[in-house]
Amino acid sequence: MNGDECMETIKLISRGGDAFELPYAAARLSHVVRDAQDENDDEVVENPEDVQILKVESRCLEKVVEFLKHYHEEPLTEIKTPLEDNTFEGNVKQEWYQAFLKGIDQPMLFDLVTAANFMAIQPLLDLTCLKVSCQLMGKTAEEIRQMLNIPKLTPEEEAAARRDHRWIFDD
Amino acid sequence: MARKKLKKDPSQQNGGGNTNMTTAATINNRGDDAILEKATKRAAAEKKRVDDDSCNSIMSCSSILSHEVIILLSNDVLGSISSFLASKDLFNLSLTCKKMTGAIEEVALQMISAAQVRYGGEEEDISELKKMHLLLRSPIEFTDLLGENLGYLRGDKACVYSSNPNRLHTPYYIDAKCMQLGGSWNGWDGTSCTAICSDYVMTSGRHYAKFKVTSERFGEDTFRYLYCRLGIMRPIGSFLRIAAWPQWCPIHDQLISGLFLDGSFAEHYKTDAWGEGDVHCCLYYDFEGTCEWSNWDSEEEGIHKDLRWDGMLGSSLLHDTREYGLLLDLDAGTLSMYEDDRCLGVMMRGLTGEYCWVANILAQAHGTPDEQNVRIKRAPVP
Repeated sequence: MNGDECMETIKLISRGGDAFELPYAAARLSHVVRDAQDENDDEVVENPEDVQILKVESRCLEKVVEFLKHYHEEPLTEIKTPLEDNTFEGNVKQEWYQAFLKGIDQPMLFDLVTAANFMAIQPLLDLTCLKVSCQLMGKTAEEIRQMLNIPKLTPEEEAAARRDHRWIFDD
Repeated sequence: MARKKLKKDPSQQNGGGNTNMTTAATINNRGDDAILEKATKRAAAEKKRVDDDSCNSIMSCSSILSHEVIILLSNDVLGSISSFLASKDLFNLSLTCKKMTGAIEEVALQMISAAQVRYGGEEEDISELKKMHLLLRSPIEFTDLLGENLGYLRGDKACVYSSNPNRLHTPYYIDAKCMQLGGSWNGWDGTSCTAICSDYVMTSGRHYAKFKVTSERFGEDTFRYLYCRLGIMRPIGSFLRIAAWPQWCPIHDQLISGLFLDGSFAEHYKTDAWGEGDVHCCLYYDFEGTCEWSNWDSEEEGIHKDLRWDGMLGSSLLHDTREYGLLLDLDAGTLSMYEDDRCLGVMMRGLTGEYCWVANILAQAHGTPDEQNVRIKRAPVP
């Protein structure tokens, strides 16, 4: 019996100490969870150990677990590049995944990016980074600064960068 | 906002640093109160300077890097986002702060490396972002044209046309001459010019390109008067650029002339990047459907022509347009031919080192650009 067929459940424990239970077969999408079990391909995974996810808060971990559970039932279709559209819905056609990120606030979105990166969940990282990318598309540097709360470059620094990348505007 | 955690120098914690404390102790032993007071003041001033610098560093980091930006600066995150964003959006993101500029340059460099190509052009001080754009996002282009009768089709550098400058030699004229003299006419002339994708150097891995050859027929004759050698050669286009030769073929013209040099291309331009193999150019000759290659080391012995290979279909000159797919697999060391994205067979083995795409065009007849041209396009490996 391999990891995918294992019927065991596992708990992921947030920084705040809240535990979220899910099938181990779903949780093992995270390389961090898998590595914590020290599993091999041939090994039968029984009684997987609960894993502390100390870098992720409860509210965010709850969303991550929701993603892991659903992904196990309906994997996310790979996002093709170059993108076919400049909207999130134009590139993610699966309704559940569209709804998963719909209406979440900016801090939660970036927390999910961090969690996906930390927990090594590639499909979630792709999904959340695509969402961020769609927010960045078509924006000027100033608009991005306002969105991400960054102070300006000096006028000299900006002029030098534009001079070095004149080809962008020629295209 | 994240605050940068500082490591305090333990020697500064007691108000003076080890050096100043030692000095103070020595002076105290001498009982010189004025000198001791001066040393203590100097130590206190030094401590204040260090503390102020540390505080400023924290403040400067906090004011530049927001929580969101710190997340974006993670290599994996920025790499994922960069794969989705167009080059112009990446540029605007890079403009937001200095850290982001550097991080995006680093990601661009990683993307180029992952694609197993390198920039072979000569533009100086070119950013990694621009190289990434040229190599991975822009259409592949013939950046070097060698020969007098070669030009871009309406400025499109992915498509070159060639024509016999002798206006008398229209296809109708050639047909008539052949019929008149029963095929023994030896008045053939034409030009052999070469277009090279010098900027796009393939260093390892698998690369696939399509060449579309247009040579429209004229009248009833099915023979085409424009044919090509298509394939790969070592990236020496920049050296050839200054030669201004009227014609050049990478198979037949192996000796350097007119460049104040004697000898062969291999002798003068070979580098470690070429690897151990001696196949320095390898081309599909669509007049016959055969393979040709050269070691660029001598006038005759190094040239290998008329090589038949498993899967070859023979001449394709009977069609108005012919499209060939070439797969260069530098891990396996092979060059394979495709038709309609279906593999016909391996044309050459034993390839090592780096190459760029090349098209040598033989224009027998005088025709218009739209009638006689070759287009290159990068495509996903089938």
